[in-house]
Order: sequence, then C-alpha cells, then structure tokens
Amino acid sequence: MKAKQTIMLTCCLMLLVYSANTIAKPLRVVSLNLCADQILMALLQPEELVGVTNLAIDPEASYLYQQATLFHQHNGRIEEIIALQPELIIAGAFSSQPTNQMLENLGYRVVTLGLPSTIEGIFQQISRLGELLNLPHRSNKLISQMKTELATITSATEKNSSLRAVVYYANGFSAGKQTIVNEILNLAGFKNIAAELKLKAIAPLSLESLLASKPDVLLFGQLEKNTNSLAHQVLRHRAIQRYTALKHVQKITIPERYWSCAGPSTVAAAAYLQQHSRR
Amino acid sequence: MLALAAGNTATRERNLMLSLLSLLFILFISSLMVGDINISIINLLDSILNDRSSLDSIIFVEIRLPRSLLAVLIGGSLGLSGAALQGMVRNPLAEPGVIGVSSCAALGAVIMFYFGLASIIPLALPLGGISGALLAVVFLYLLTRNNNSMLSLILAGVAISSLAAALMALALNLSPNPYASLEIFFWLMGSLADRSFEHVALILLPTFLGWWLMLSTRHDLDVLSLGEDTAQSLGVQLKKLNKKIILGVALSVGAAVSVCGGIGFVGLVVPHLLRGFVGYQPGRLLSHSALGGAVLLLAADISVRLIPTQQELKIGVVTALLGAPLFLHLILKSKREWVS
Repeated sequence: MKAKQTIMLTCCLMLLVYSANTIAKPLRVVSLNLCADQILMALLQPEELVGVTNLAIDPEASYLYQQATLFHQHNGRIEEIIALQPELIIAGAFSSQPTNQMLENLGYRVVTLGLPSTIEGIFQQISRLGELLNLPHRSNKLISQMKTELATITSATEKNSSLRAVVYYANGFSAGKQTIVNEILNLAGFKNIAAELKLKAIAPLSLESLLASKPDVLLFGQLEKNTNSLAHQVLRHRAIQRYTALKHVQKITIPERYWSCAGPSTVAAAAYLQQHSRR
Repeated sequence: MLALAAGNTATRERNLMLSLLSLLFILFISSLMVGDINISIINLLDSILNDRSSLDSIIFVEIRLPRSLLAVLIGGSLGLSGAALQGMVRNPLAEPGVIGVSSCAALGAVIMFYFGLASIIPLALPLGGISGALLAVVFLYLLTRNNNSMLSLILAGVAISSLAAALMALALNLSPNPYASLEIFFWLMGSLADRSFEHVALILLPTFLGWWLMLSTRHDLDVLSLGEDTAQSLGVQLKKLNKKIILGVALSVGAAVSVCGGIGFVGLVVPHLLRGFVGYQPGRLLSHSALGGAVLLLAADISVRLIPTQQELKIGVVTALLGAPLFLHLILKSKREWVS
C-alpha cells in the first residue's frame, strides 16, 4: 500500500514538475527587425530574447540602444540565426524576404510584423505579440504604461493652437499621412503639412514646395553628426536658412531613433516634440 | 570663289553665334521660371527692388538662380572640353565622359567629400575633382600620343571609367555616412537639383581659368588640323598646346563634376552637331561648343524638372539618352578605322 502511494505521489510530482516546466519555460525568441527589437526588448528578458539585430545598439537608429547591450546581437545572417536555436522568429514585413522564406522552409516559426501608422495599431501589435509569447500580462502592462504617458501628452496639447509642421529628412523626403510620424505630429499637437499636401507615405518633397507650404515648425533628424553626404547637404541649403530666419520658423531637430519605428518610442517622440516646441 | 566660301562661312558662323546666344537667353529665363511653385514676377521685382526678402525672392535667388547658372557654367565647360579634346587628339569620339575623365574627377571629389575634407576646407572639393580629371587626361594623352586610333581611345576610356567607378563604389562603401553608398548614382549620372550659390562660388574660378586656357589654343588648333608636321613648321608649339588643353579640361571638367556629378555625352553631341556650321575648323568650334553645351544642359535641366517622375530624374539620364545613340552612330560610321 505504501509503495503504491509513493509511486502515485512521485508520478504526481513528476507531472507537476513537467507541466511547470512546459508552462514556465520561456520561448527562445529571435528578432530580425529593428522595430521588432524595440517592442520585444520591452517585453522580454535577455534569456528569453536570445537575439536582436546589430542595429539595436546603434544610438542613431535604436531608441532602446542602451538596453540592447544586455542582449545578444546578431548580424542577420541565416547561419547565425539558426545557431541561436530559436523557437519563434519575429521578422519585419519589409526586412530581408529571402531570409524569412528560407527560415520558414527550414521549419522555423516565423511571424512577420507590419508597420503600424497609428497608436492604436501599435497597441494591437503589442497585444498580438503578448499572445504569441504567452505573456499577455506583460503586454497589457506595457500598453497601459504607454496609455498613461499618452494621456499626459494629449492633455497638454489640447490647450495649444495647432501649429503647422513639416518633417524634412535627408534627400528631401517628408512623411505623409500613412506614417507613424504623422501620428506623432498629431499627438504632439501639430498639423502635418505633408499630409495636407496629399503625401501618403515617406515621399520626396521639393525644396520649393517645402518653403511654399509656409511651415511654422520645421523638423529635422539629427544634423550634428556625420553629415558628409549629399542627402544631408540639402537640409543645410541656404534657401532653408534664409526662409526660417525671415519667417521665424522654429527648427526642431529630433534624433532619428525616436521615430524610426512605431512602438514604445512613439510616445517618447511626441513628448520630445512637445517639450522642444516653442509656443 | 574661295573668298565667297569664306564669306559664307563667316555669315553662317555669325548667324549660328547669334541664334545660340538668343536660345541661351530664352532658356535661361525659362529655367528661372520653371519649378514646382509659380512665382509672381511682380512680387518678385517688388521684393528685389526694395531689397526685401520674401518667399518668392528666396526661391528665385537661392534655388533657381544658382541652378540655372550652374547649368550654363557646366554645360559650357563640357561642350568646350569636348571640342578641345577632339581637336587635340583629332578624334571625334574624345569626350570627358566617354574617355573616363568625368568618372576620375568624380572619384577625386567623392574622396574629398565623404571623408570630411570638403567640410573643413570647401575648396578641397573642386581640387579633388580637378586632380582626378588631371590624372585621367594625362593618362589619355600618353596613351594616344603615338597611336590615335579609335579603338585604343575607346578601350582606354572603358578601362579608366570602370576602374574609377569601382574605386568610387569602394570609397562610398567605406565612407562613415550611411547614405553615401546610395549616392553613387549622383556621381555617375549627375544632377543640378538643390545646388546653391556655394557651389557656384566653388567652381567659378577654375571654370573660367580652364575656359581661358582652352580658348587660347583656338588658332593653334585650326593649324593642327593640317597635321602635326605642318603645324610645327607653321610655328605651333605642340607641347605647349597639349599642356594648355590638358590643364584646361582638367580644371573646368574637374570643377564641374565635383559639384554636379558626371554628366555624360554633352561634349560629344554638341561639337558633332555644330562642326558643319564652322567649316570643320576645330579652333572655331570651341566657343560655339561652349555656348551649345550651355544651351543643351539648360534644356536638359528644364526637361527633368518638367517630366513628372516621383523623384527628379538625374540630368545625365537625359543627356545619355540623347548622346549614346549618336555615339553608336559615330562608331558605326567610322567602322573602317577599326581595322587599322
């Protein structure tokens, strides 16, 4: 009798240990995309997220560049990714398609993330990731954190009159209506001129059209570093300097890492613009 | 009879000069008027006369004026250099783009620009272009000194161009700026978009110096068309002539490429079209080619602004579409020379 009880107990214990193992054992996740890096680093620990892109530690491009040093960075080559033994691979819809396809063919589970252009889209993406990772409580926590921060920003913007702003990127590109930059501008209380001009996505805006749109605020990416390229030269064109001096246009430079991705940085970008805007 | 023919040529030449000048004037004015924004002339005159800045005057003075001036300067340099090189090596296929002078100049400028030298000393940019161009012209000269067959000229050009383009790609990839490697298209095709007065100021001196050097050879070039021995017996100092043209081409083309990239085929098309009007005299062709080059480049630049593409077309695309078929035609026409 006693032996039977012992066996039963041992079985129960083993089952318990086994099931606890399967529930608690985190998935090994690898991210193939800078924007996926940002959300996953906010949700996962270094032992869960076993690989982020090597762009993640770049302070120009990656918002969580300091946190990224805690994670392993890979160079995006397929052999290195396989060596990380991933159980779930998160890729971007626009990142290297051949790599995604190859990984799927090899039997890995690859999930691609789109590029949300609204704050609602970001929340949906975060909760989808929470479900995929079996960590809905963490994703809900992140979302509610972001919503609280957002509420502080929007309560401040309501009081302000709408200034008309335009983003001018390297190569004379601007961000139109279906971009996260448009959402950030609206959150910070600006009207996006590029959207008024019927630009849809990131599209070129000629220097002449830029000046003729009579902006109140001109937003640039970081200009101080590394501007030895034609792409950046246009941002220093004398016509822009003279026009901004003439009409007292406010120039704000915002590091690219704030809005290169849609995600936790989006709220921070809106806050950054709000702080730096002269009302 | 001879006097009559000479008189005819003189009238034709004068008519040609007049029509080129008036065409240049018309195109220059339209280049100032064409753009995304309609500028009201009354507002413009008002703000310029009252010395007051306005949106219209800023767009006019800071965007369109430097662009049109650059088209004239660079078009002139390319047309003139094409004519001078053709006179020097007595070969109608010599042209800064075809023989690799432009790509070497671009290589020099790329090295100065992307590694930060040009932002410390602005003059480093044209100097880089000029030294690159100088290397290529000297090499070309040494190569064709004893052998001016078309085949060796073109093959040497192909070799120089592709080597310079490869080195340029290497330099751009090594550059610390992430945008650099995407900009090879600008250096290979050229563009006048969003250039400013800084660029005009940078190239003004070397361009005029180059023009002066090349134009000062016009009588000697005419004599040279009779053959080297005859020219020497008539007192032409060949070495001096060649030095002047080499330096002139390097200065003007090097400077042009360093601010606007390598715009091809202008120096090929223009002298070819105008040669008949000046009685096939290489010396007389020079000034006409300069004017013709300016006209062609202005017209090409206006057309890239009018063609509705998402991003503005590179100006070298237009000139290549015009020039490449002509280049082929010239090669086919002179097939016989390939055998020699």
